[in-house]
Amino acid sequence: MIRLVLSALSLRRAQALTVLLLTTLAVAAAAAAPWYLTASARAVARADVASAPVAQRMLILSGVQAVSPGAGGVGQPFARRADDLLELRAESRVMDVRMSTDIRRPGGSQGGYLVARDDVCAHLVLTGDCPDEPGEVAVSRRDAEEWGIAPGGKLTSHAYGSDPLPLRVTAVYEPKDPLGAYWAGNDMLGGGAQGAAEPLFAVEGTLLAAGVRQASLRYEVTIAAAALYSSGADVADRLARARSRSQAAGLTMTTNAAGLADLVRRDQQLITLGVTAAALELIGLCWFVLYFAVAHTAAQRRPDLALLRLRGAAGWRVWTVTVAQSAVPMLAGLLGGYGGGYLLARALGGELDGPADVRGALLRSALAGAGVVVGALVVAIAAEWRAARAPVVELLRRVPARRRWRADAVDLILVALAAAGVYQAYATGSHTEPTWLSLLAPGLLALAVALVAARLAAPLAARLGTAALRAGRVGTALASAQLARRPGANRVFALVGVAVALLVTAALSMQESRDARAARAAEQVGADRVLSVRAQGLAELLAGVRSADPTGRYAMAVARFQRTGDGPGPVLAVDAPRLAAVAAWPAGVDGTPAPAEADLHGGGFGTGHPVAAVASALRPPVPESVRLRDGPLTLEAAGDPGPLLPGADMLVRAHLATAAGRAVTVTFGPFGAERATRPARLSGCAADGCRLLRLESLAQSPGGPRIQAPAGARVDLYRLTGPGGVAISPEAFGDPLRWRGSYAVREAVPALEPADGRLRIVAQPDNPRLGKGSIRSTAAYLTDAPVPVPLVVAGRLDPPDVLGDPRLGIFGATAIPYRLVASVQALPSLGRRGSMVDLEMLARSLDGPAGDQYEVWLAPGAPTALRDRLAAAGLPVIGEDSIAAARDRMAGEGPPAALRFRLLAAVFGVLLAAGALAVAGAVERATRAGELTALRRQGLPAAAARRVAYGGQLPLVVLAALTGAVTAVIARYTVEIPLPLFVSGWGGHPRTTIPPWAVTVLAALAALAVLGAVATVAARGLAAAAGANGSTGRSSAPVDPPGGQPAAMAGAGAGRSA
Amino acid sequence: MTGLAVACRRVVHIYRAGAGDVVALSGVDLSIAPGEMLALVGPSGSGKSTLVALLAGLMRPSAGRVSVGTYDLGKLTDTEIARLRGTEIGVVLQGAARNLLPYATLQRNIWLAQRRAARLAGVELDDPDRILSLVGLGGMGPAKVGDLAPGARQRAALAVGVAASPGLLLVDEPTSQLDTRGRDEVLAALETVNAERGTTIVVVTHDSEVGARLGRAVTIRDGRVGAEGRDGQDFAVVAGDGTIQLPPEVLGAFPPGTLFTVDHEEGTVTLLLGGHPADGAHPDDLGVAR
Repeated sequence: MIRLVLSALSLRRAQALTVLLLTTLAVAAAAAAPWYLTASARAVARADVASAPVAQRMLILSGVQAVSPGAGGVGQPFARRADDLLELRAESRVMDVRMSTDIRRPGGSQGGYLVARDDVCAHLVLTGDCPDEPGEVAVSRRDAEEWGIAPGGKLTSHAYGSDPLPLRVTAVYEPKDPLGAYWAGNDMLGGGAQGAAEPLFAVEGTLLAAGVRQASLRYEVTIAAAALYSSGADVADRLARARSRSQAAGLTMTTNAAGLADLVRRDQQLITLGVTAAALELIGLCWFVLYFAVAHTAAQRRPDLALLRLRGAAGWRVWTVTVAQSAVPMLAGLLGGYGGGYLLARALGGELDGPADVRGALLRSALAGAGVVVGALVVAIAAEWRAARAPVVELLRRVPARRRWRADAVDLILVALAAAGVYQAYATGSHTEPTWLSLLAPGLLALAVALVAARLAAPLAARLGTAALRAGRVGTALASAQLARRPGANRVFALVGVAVALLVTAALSMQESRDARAARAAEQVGADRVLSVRAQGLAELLAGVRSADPTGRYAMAVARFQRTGDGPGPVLAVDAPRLAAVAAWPAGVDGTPAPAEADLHGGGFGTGHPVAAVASALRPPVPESVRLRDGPLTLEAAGDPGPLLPGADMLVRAHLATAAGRAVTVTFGPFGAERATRPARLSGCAADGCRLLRLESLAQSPGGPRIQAPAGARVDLYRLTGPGGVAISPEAFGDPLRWRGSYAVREAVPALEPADGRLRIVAQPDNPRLGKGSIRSTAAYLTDAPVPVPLVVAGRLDPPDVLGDPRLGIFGATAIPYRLVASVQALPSLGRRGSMVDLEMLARSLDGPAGDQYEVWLAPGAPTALRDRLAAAGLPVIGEDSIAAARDRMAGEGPPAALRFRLLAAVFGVLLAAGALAVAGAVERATRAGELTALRRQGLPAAAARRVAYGGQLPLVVLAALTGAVTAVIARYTVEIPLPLFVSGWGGHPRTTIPPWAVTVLAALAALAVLGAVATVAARGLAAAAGANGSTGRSSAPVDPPGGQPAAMAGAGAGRSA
Repeated sequence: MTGLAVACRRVVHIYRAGAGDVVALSGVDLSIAPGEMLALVGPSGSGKSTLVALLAGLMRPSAGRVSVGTYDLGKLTDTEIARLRGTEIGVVLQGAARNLLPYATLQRNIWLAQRRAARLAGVELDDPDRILSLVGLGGMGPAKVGDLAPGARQRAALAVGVAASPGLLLVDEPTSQLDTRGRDEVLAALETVNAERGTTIVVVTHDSEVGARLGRAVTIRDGRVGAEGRDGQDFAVVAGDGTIQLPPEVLGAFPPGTLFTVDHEEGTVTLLLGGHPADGAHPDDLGVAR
């Protein structure tokens, strides 16, 4: 039998090849999907994990443990215990043992921590030697400068309840990679709580020698990225188990990894949903086309069937000979499809991670491919069913009797099912979360509409034909009749309609996703490129960037702060004059740059470009700072110690800051009741000079220490001169706009009386209303920044719940009063929630160095040398991001990967529809060529015959494509709930680069080009076969015997026997 | 297998057509003896192919009885009829190529046609090559239908028809597209089959010469057996309902509705024209010998 089947296939190669190709395509899609899914699920997990801050992968197990002298180290036993509890794959592990202590230094003491941390010296930039012996410590640069200590210096640790331990400073440190994984779990760099020292790093032996009774232990684990690649639910379970074991052991587990795992899980869920829906659509389409192809080519197998049935062949033999002619190419297609699917999946999804993944994906691919072929066989049997069950006499007829009611019933059922599916998707969907049905809705709607439209097209074509005939246009009339009566035309119409609808839907989704990624990347990153730099402070950052790019066109200094207290999101401090040139401003609601909708409060801040308006609102005109260089200074002043400290001398201390933010002080005095000029010498401000921050009044009893001026003490300041001349004139001292008290809420500020060419500072007593812990200030701050600081906000900003100006609290610094100058839809890098201030104004308003993160934003086209210039300016680059990189990261997420597969499946769908057109054309060619030849011989002009040949194909394709495109647009804006654009929500608005109508037209035209080309080739072949391509109209095409009339004996079935 | 007898008794067949029913056979009575060769002749549309289709079990008669051998075809199920066609009734369709799978060799075609019979116990089937030799195509087993000349193609179709050694062979227009030589070869093959196996053979043909050569020719006209020729002599046939079809040339002289009186006397039947004799006809011309 098999030889017989092979012989049959060899004779009917074209049909066999068609079935083979279609099955190959279907199996390839089905087999590629699981591999692609596995690979993409891994890829998106990898992308999610890579783009998440490393802190999200941190897991910290902490506890307090008693330490007994002489019992040995506590760190490593704790680490081993923690490893047993966690059972998680870790990328790195850091054991951190710390002890709270009081650090005594020259001139004072400060609370802080002695910290023994694994391998710490490898992650520090050390000036000096790594402290590797008990009693040795490394001190942070900030504290070393503040304390005036250097390697070789001495400190004393005095832990509660133990004897003082002398410490030798062997090195001054700065963190080498503060944004790296090593420091991600650390909570003390940058000073931690306000006023506390940065950690003193030492070996564990130092801590033990300090004689503490208990130590804080932290085991910081960076969970291996690969551990998060598996299903998110799995990771969440492991974390939950680890947490409960830790709690049982009396330890605290802290981690954000569950959130990241959840993100990965959702991303994988979305890609599974998207890819499976697309694969299902494609497989459904393949089955539809296979049914069409098998049913169309079944006519050629009818004589075989008739013969076998005539000879009384057994049923199984009849089925074998007929179905095997489809089954054998299908099984060959299975093999080809496996190969093709594997290559396709590899090309699209890449390699899999391990043999387990490969085995799993291959098994699922094999099952999916086999499932498709089983479905295809069922489809083939269904297509042959009617013929195989027909009476012999029916089979002997050359033209089978039409049974329109069956086709009608099938169409009706399909339309009903599709309509029910669409309704279900619409009615039960959450309208935000996609489901299988909601993703399949466009295809279902297209199917329903295309089937109905196909039914409507036939009578329309018939009417057109009648009208054309009356008008004497024979060619058009015949072409219309052909369209109206062509068997299977409605199937071709539906297929083309659905294929085009799926392509347009996929293209619309892709474009929307692409636009959204571009917009979100710009919004997240803030500028074309963003460099993370290491800087000593805001002033140094600002000065460094300005010196690296004096033009102001390419680089802008930015500092990022976490906001404390109420208010929208984080704070971004920018060098406002460079904002318009450098920042990428996010789009607003209608896709225009958001500042167009900016509501400028107070007005008068500038006109013209909206970003420029915001920038100028952030930086109103202010007096220049007072800058002093090294050299002799003089201060003309008078003082009165007041009643509390009679006879004491009054002194005035000037507080200055270097460009790097380092504090420098110089003290003038003594001053008595008489106005006098006192000299002092400034040093430490050689390079760029120091900015004068404030002038503070002190008092000193004879022989006593200098102390803060007591309540009631007064100084009058008249003139400050520096090496370059008068720095503050009497007029400036007397100007009320130039002086203010401290911004600190809990400081009792002095009474400042600027008037008559002098500034009087009268120290005030403690203010009990400020509560315990409040401090007294005797300083007058020189105003060189707007008061309050101008602020632009995105998001809702609640009014302050206390009287007075609203305050901007930022971590590690005094909250400063601000004034809202503009509200915008979104801010660069911060999006819909955050605040923006001017960096220079903020730096002038803050008391000391601050900032969580220092960045340099670069505009497109920034010179490459800028990076080196920044390093030379003391701003070494420690990290880099860019809009392009962010876009690429987002492209690696689940939804875009699913959309790519969907687009590919849609392209395959169009190719399938083209295949169906080719099959229909090839199968019908002989019959139709016979008809046309007969008409030609009866005098039909060649031109009219050509019109019939082309007119019977192309209008069908064009009309169906149009129906598909329109349906896709309707579906897109009514029933389809597309895949979310991003795995994590985004409230932004894509800036439309190509309008949806253009995408629709382009996608429909692309599909039409392919389908039209196939239809044209088929029509040309038909015209050639009918001899209508030549000018003479002579034809050699054979004229088929007239169909419909049965031959002898078979003629017995001319009608139905009674 | 020896030849099977065939009997049709008052067979009526009506086609249901869109515009109205068409009576294809309206009371056919026909008996064929086992091993007899018979030609069914008649004009197109007379009902001969319908009759053969009924004999092949491809259709059921609307009324009447068709029996082949001991089988009453009207009472058999579709499966039994299919089995019968696979074992005892061979059918050769008009157009030789329609009887052969184009992609299979002649041997394979014959082998396929034997499959049903081969399953029956006690049946010994001839080797395909032997069957091909029977129809004069010895040694052509590996050939395919496309390789053969028209006459050989028709004989190959006959070979497939007799592959299962049927008792009845129904052949539709075997000579219609052949030249004289081809026709003679086909007829010779039929005669060989009949002679060697005793197969009853019914041939549908337009060709009166074929009918004459087969020995018995039954003419079907308007759905009835109109006449029968035997050994070169033509006879009218009395149908089961007592009707006799007049030869067309006689019928032309007497329009429908003409009245006769019938006299029957010692083997002679005389039709006497009644009240309205047709012009130009004399009652003395109308004697019909029995």
